Amino acid sequence: MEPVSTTHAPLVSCENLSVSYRSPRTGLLGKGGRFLALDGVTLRIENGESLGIVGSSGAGKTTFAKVISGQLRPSAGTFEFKGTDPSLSGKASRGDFQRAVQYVFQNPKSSFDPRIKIGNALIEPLLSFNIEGDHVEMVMTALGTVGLDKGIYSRYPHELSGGQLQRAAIARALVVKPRLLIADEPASSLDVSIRAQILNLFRELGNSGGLTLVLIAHDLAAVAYTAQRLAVFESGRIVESGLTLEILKNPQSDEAKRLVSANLAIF
Amino acid sequence: MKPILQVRNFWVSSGNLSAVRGVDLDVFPGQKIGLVGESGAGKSMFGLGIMDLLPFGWDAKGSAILGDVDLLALSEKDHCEIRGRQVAMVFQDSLSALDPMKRIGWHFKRIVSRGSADRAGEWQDIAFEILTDLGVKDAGVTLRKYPHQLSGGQRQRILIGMAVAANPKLIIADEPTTSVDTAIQRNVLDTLTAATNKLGASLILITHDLALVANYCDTLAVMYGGHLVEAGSTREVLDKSRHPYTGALINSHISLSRVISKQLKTLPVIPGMMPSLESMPTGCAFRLRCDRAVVACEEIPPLLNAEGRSLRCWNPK
Repeated sequence: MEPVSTTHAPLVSCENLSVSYRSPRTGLLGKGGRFLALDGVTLRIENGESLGIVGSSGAGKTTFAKVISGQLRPSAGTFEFKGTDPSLSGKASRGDFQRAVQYVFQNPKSSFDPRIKIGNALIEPLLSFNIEGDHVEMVMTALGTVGLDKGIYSRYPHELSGGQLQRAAIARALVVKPRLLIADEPASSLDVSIRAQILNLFRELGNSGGLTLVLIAHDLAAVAYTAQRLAVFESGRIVESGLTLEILKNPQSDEAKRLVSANLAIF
Repeated sequence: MKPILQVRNFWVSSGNLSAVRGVDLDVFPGQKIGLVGESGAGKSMFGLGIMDLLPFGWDAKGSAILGDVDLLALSEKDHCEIRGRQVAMVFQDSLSALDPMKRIGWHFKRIVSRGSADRAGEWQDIAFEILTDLGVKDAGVTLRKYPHQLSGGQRQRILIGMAVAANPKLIIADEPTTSVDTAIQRNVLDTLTAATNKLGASLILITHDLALVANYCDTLAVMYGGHLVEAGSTREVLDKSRHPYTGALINSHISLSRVISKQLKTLPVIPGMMPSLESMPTGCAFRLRCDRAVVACEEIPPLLNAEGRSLRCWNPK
């Protein structure tokens, strides 16, 4: 029998992932317990798909994102990126992993150094991954992809609006040509009209094919607009996953039902 | 019916910068007004101006008549009599609105005894009753807790409880749910509107979320660049907005039903950004982003009232 072909391996594969933290002591003589932030999560993310992760706060969404971006080691279970566990591989391939997975944080104001111009902030990842080529050209291309003017290159973070700065953060993630882009609440700190721009951008990036997207948000409508597939988290577990539209039309788990009904409509 | 608060030509300025520019607004008894706008629209400064809690260097001008008292003409001492008792505020950040060194009970004790000295002795009973009404379980235990021991949603409920404790006529809630989860958000707003109804008070809900206004307020008021650009009954404004900015805000709102019905190909965006106070254009603040702008827009349009709708636009839909 032929072995399972590795070319069809999912980009990310998690088996029974658990992450536990020590919870604080209950009293002076009390014993601290263990808090399970992730409790046996099994999930595959295929190449080129866009996955939305929803759940209330404390459901483990961000912990999951930290594990698949290599910021956090799971306490139990396995995490594989392109078929190998990056934490067990050598230094060189760990570098490849770090380059292949990029992260966009919630608040762009705190993810940029106020003293460094946008252009230099975007060149920094190219330098740290020893990427060869014309760095300025690459940064300009990335700025163009996210719809920013080239003049942004020599601006300081405080000179940009929240939406422009979040787009610059996305450009900084894209400049190293990642395989997987993880965005943790990328639009929730932004104004309504700017939110729309960022969500449109993620939708374009997700539809462009080459990039795999993981979008975390507590706003169901924002995720549903951008991601084809959805995973609903509750208390560290995935309680429901599947095609976004299917889940929205016909939620099965209590948590998914709750999230769908908590969404307020204007019409 | 006579409005409980009548705001006329209300300005909030610091030097030659103005965050609120000539807002007129009537608040009727029991009315729930949703004041929406993006950051920089001046909606928070409007709320702080009414409360006389503006940051250092900012001044309010115009008139804000509560009952028959002009709030802007009051001395700080007289304003203290009104603040918290007749007009109460629910702040956005519940962690910084409570004193971290004091128990929840202490906060209630101060408000109740300030509200009426003869009820001061019963503050515990009053606080217990209010919190139980607001759906706080074990209100007695909660009163002995410190702010950090409560979750965000619980703290927000405490703030609402503190706002209603002195039986105010008007509650101003400034983004009361931006820091809590979507599901808890509904819960907090249910609590807030129920408490307002029980008191028979009016509510000004300052928010950037149109969906909240659509579901919790009878009146929608939209601010942009310090101006009140459109106001009217929530349903009517949402169904038939006349100011281009209101229309653009409604269009860029993603709702689940639009996503499910696949009506939504690409979310319409409003080009450009809200001008900063320093770079506010002459005339209509929205004209540089507006697709209906005409030559007349270089002058500030007057705020016109017709058929229950206030509108500040030269070329409305």
